[in-house]
Amino acid sequence: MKISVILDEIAVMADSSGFDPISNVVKQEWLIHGPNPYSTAALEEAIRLREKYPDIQVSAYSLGGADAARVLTYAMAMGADDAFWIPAENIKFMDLWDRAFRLANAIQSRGNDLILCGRLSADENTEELGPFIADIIGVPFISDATKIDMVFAEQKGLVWRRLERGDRDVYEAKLPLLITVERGIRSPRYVSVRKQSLPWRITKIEESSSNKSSDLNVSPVTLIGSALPRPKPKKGAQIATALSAQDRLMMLMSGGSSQKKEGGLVEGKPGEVARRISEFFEEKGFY
Amino acid sequence: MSEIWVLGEIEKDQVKEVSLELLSEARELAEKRSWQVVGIFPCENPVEKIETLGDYGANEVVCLLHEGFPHAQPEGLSSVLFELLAQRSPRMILSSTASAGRDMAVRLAVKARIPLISDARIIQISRDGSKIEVTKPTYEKKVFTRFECPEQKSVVITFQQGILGVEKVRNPVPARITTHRAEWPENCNRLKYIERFKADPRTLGVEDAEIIVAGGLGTGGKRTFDLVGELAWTLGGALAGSRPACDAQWVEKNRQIGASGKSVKPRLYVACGISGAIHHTIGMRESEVIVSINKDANASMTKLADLKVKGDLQEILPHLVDEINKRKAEKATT
Ligand SMILES: Cc1cc2nc3c(=O)[nH]c(=O)nc-3n(C[C@H](O)[C@H](O)[C@H](O)COP(=O)(O)OP(=O)(O)OC[C@H]3O[C@@H](n4cnc5c(N)ncnc54)[C@H](O)[C@@H]3O)c2cc1C
Ligand SMILES: Nc1ncnc2c1ncn2[C@@H]1O[C@H](COP(=O)(O)O)[C@@H](O)[C@H]1O
Repeated sequence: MKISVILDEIAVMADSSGFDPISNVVKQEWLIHGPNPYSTAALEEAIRLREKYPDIQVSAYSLGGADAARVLTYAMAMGADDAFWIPAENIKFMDLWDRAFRLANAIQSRGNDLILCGRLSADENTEELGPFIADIIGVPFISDATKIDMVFAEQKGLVWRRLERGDRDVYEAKLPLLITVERGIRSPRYVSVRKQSLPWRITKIEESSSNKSSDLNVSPVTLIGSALPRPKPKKGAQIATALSAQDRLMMLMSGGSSQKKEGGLVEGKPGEVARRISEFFEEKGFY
Repeated sequence: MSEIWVLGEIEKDQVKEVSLELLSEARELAEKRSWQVVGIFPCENPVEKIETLGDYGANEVVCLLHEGFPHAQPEGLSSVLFELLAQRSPRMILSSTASAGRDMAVRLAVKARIPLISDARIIQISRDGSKIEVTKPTYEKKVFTRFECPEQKSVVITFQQGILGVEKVRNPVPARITTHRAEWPENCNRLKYIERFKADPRTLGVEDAEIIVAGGLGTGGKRTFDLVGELAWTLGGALAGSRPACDAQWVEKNRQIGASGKSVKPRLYVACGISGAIHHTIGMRESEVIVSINKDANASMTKLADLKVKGDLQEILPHLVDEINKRKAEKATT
């Protein structure tokens, strides 16, 4: 029985000065790199499943450059049984289908029952890599899982999918299956620096030439550049000109209310105040 | 003629706000190019007065009917959507980032092998309609990145609720309605829907909550703090506290928000009797909507809030809980 976990490293921008608005480039020295917490949560879940079903083998996969090698070392230190590195340069500019295709190829040729990955990567938040891999391999997928209950003997299990407000939909699915997990599914175990610096064995996978992602016949989107956030006014909302540019930006970025920081004070008799607050909640659709 | 689709969502027999926003956006994009705006609504039963979606810019509404739509038949639904897409090749498909909208969007993109751009902010189309450019935030919203979509191909784009806003059209025409009973091949039934599990706000973790009601030292004691809890349950939200409130054991330590507690980004954060010290606000200032109830109008929390309430929470909270319950009951009967 095999569980494959795909992991990546993410870059967190220390603050917005990490972006140069003149040349429109992300300044590499402002990025802090580390394992994607969603993908380490996926690995933690796999390791817990192995603790329950000892004949499970947990394999870690990552696509990328030195970052991928680093995250695989981390995965081994966490407790993966083996790790496979698919070297690729500049994956931030690589189309998702292309990325998915390379990962799918590597996973597929090693046999699989359950594939786990994170719901998203916090830097790019695309959320699609897992589902694309599932489709290429030809297995069903469930996204945003907060709980997995597998019965490997019967080759099936239950998966809780996160909905709004903490509600869950529960699905039953047979293996093979791909699940993308929420960060909260497990807290990844602590890995000491000493453990991370042990000489873990990482297997490098050279690209097989037989399959090409061009066989997929997808036209990718092309990244054409970056810029500082530039808001577009929200329909039907009056943007208060009294707001500073920064506040207006925050308001649009948060997708939030048009009232931010401009509304007057609500005060008066408790009953009247309560009515005003509940009207506000109702307007915003909170109940 | 090109079409822009909106994958619509229904909740409690009503079209969700975000679907109206998407229709308004589709209308704006379609206008200059005489494209058609088509709302695609997967639902269990026909929705009343759905032709009024013309008010928001829909030229046509396609209702896809099947028991358990959309959540209980994820694969069946995507198969039906894919077939429709193959027939009509829309230029663009808009959907929401909510759990239902995102699932439809991802499954359709995967099945049709077309690009998907999630959580977008801005769509720009060249005058002749051949080029589509989409801007979305990356690096935790610190940078915007622009993508160009392939020509001659459909593309799926998702938006969060509240980004676009709703706008009614000036001279609305009722939308044409077509209704399909959905059918799909047997091999699209690989996932079996078991049940929906309704969260109990009392046990819901703060990380998971879309609504958080938090209390601070201003509640003055355990008994009044429980009023804050009442409000949380009434709104279906989770309870949280400032550090002093947690230290006093009015609420569990794992519900502490702030520098030495948890960082949260709910849709609504209600702060009751919390002054808004930086150690606290660092954990909640990215909440979409903030409400502060405080007797001090100059408290930092009040300055941060979208709705600033000045008053004694001991007096306000009981009225507020009653008022919301009353309104909920009225809503349920209408
Ligand atoms: C290193 C460090 C880490 C910290 N980490 C955290 C953390 O993680 N989380 C955290 O919360 N704090 C943290 N703190 C503490 C923080 O600095 C503040 O002291 C704390 O947040 C204040 O809590 P409060 O707002 O509940 O209380 P107060 O600051 O005392 O505010 C009480 C508020 O209630 C209002 N009020 C009083 N009575 C009423 C009434 N009847 N009706 C309405 N309003 C009323 C008052 O006007 C006042 O604004 C940390 C501090 C340090 C030094
Ligand atoms: N280069 C990569 N190599 C391996 N796994 C990845 C890679 N990029 C993303 N993932 C996984 O896919 C998930 C979703 O990523 P994304 O689709 O980029 O948001 C992440 O949480 C990871 O588990």
